[in-house]
Amino acid sequence: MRFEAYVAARYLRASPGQTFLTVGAVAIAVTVVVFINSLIGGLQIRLLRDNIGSLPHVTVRPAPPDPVPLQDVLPAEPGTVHTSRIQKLSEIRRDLENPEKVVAQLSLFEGVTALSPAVRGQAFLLRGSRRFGVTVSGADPPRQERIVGLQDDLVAGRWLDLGPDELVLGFRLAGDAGVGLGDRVRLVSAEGVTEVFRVAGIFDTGSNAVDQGQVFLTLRAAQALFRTGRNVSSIQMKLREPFQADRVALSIRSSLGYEVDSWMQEQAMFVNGFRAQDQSRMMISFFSLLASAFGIASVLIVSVVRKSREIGILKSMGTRDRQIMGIFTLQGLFVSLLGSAVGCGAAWLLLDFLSGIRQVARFGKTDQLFPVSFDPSLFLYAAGAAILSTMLASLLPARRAASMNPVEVLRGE
Amino acid sequence: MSEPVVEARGLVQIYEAGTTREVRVLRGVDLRVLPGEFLSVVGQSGSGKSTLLNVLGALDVPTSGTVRIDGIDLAGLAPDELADVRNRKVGFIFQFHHLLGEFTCLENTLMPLFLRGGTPSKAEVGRVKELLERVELSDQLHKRPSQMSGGQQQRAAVVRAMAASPRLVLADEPTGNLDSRSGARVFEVLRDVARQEGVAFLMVTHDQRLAGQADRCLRMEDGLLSETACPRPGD
Ligand SMILES: Nc1ncnc2c1ncn2[C@@H]1O[C@H](COP(=O)(O)OP(=O)(O)OP(=O)(O)O)[C@@H](O)[C@H]1O
Ligand SMILES: [Mg+2]
Repeated sequence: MRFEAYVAARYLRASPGQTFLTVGAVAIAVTVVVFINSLIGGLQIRLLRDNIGSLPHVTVRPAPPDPVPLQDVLPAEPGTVHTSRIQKLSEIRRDLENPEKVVAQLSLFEGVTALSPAVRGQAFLLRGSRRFGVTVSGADPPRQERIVGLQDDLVAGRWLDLGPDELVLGFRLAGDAGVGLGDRVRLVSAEGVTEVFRVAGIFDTGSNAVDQGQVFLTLRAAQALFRTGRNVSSIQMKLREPFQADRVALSIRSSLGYEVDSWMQEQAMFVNGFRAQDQSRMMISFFSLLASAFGIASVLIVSVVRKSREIGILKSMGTRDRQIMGIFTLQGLFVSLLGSAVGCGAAWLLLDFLSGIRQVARFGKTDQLFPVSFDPSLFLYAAGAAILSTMLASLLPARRAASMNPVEVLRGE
Repeated sequence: MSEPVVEARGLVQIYEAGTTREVRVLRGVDLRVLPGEFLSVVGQSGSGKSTLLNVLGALDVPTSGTVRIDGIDLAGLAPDELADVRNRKVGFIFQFHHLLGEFTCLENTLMPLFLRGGTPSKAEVGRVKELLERVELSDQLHKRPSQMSGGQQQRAAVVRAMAASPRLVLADEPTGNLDSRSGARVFEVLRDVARQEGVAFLMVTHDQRLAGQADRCLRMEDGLLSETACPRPGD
């Protein structure tokens, strides 16, 4: 390998213009790949956070009691035919019994990062003579926090150490009802239970529906309000990988028999859009690398043809075909290593510059205009793909060089 | 009596065999060259002299016939083994395109040693430098071919052919583009080293004077090689 590297390095140094162009081609491709993926990746992280940050990835509910056809219930009488239409039961309140046992079962599924038993229900919030229909969500705040993340959206008060006689609500609802921190409000559930709560916190999630119509309580308080006893209405789950939700939901449903919803079914449009972005960034990456590989292949083919006599002389001295191949693939390797390094550097500078540009966000905070995701493994992947594609591109010219017939290229002048 | 360095029997080389453009270049050539022997080959243009050298030097494969170099039968050797025979047993000198343009004179002459993988030993480098001195290239060691004259390049090519201590040197009109004085000088060095080291030396030349100094003179004609009287000075 030393001889091949020696000759390859000399060839590269001897034509700096060609080397500069080929290194540049690889560098540009690597920059494009890193840049596009960081930018779209960053946008996707922001999109995911904004759209499903406050959604559970998977929600587990008790299985609906299956309606049974009539003939299975009635004794079979010869000569009679039963016809029955199967209709799903609905709107019967069903609760999950023994939630901690279910939590223990669910935590065994792969990729589960958080679980929170919750009681959800409809209620009226009463303030003086005014009534507001609200969705009540009761859960243990620290556990719930890992599912919906209210803490960051809190504009006043507390949430994580919520007491059983306290609640947090959205700033729009607070405004409509004219309540502030420390004020008392009354909740009346559909089950007819009335409880008084003190406003402990106010949040602004950016989603109108939540800010206007949602109230958070502790699990205990919600269990009392909806008379569920020790049961809960659902268990909400967060996964390490949000896009595994459908798969996890399916395996829970088939192995445990619960009714399981995944955010991906409910947000199918979002998922499609997300997939389209993924495909476009793959396409851009692929074609950038392809273009650079073609460029390098053509430059190397020209150089092989230009050097055919020298290749003939090398062969007459006893250089083996593999060594000739090595000389040209090593040129590809050097070019791709150098180009990858330059490309990674350029991409880093570009991303560093872009991520420094701020824009004004909510509550007067500033936010990145380009939410670049600085993923070091992306640099490695881009460099690896560039090195691989360049090596593949140099194989063709290298084989052509190796298969040259020295007698033919040396004949005549 | 010592073993021949080259022994060729019944060499036949046919190009484009089986087509209407079939060319029978070699029609059954036999040849034995002993160590230290110096042979010249003459013949008309197109008579097959270069073809013969390529076949003898394991650069080309004959249509039929056998070649043994230093006792090694070339028939049936794999391409890599043929390459190794060229590297260790044979030195080529071509009329044109001698050197690699991106390397210095010294690097070019050491190339057959480099391509074996390791760094040439001190003794090997010393030998090459001494040869370069004998052809008066000591002051050209670090020049590129483009900075050297045609004659200097050809002398470097001669040194390169000898660098790896081959058993056989094949020269195809090595002095063809040199003026007669420096041609004679290069030739002398070649012959002296060949004699000293017991190298078999086959030279194709049009130069009657050079051909005349050979131990044996051969003529290529009608695809056959025949021994002729060497043209001696004064003839
Ligand atoms: N690959 C080939 N295909 C067809 N014909 C070939 C091929 N190679 C050589 N020839 C023919 O073989 C003959 C001998 O060629 P060669 O180069 O050996 O001649 P030469 O004696 O070296 O001539 P010169 O003195 O001009 O160098 C020529 O007629 C040439 O046209
Ligand atoms: Mg010739």
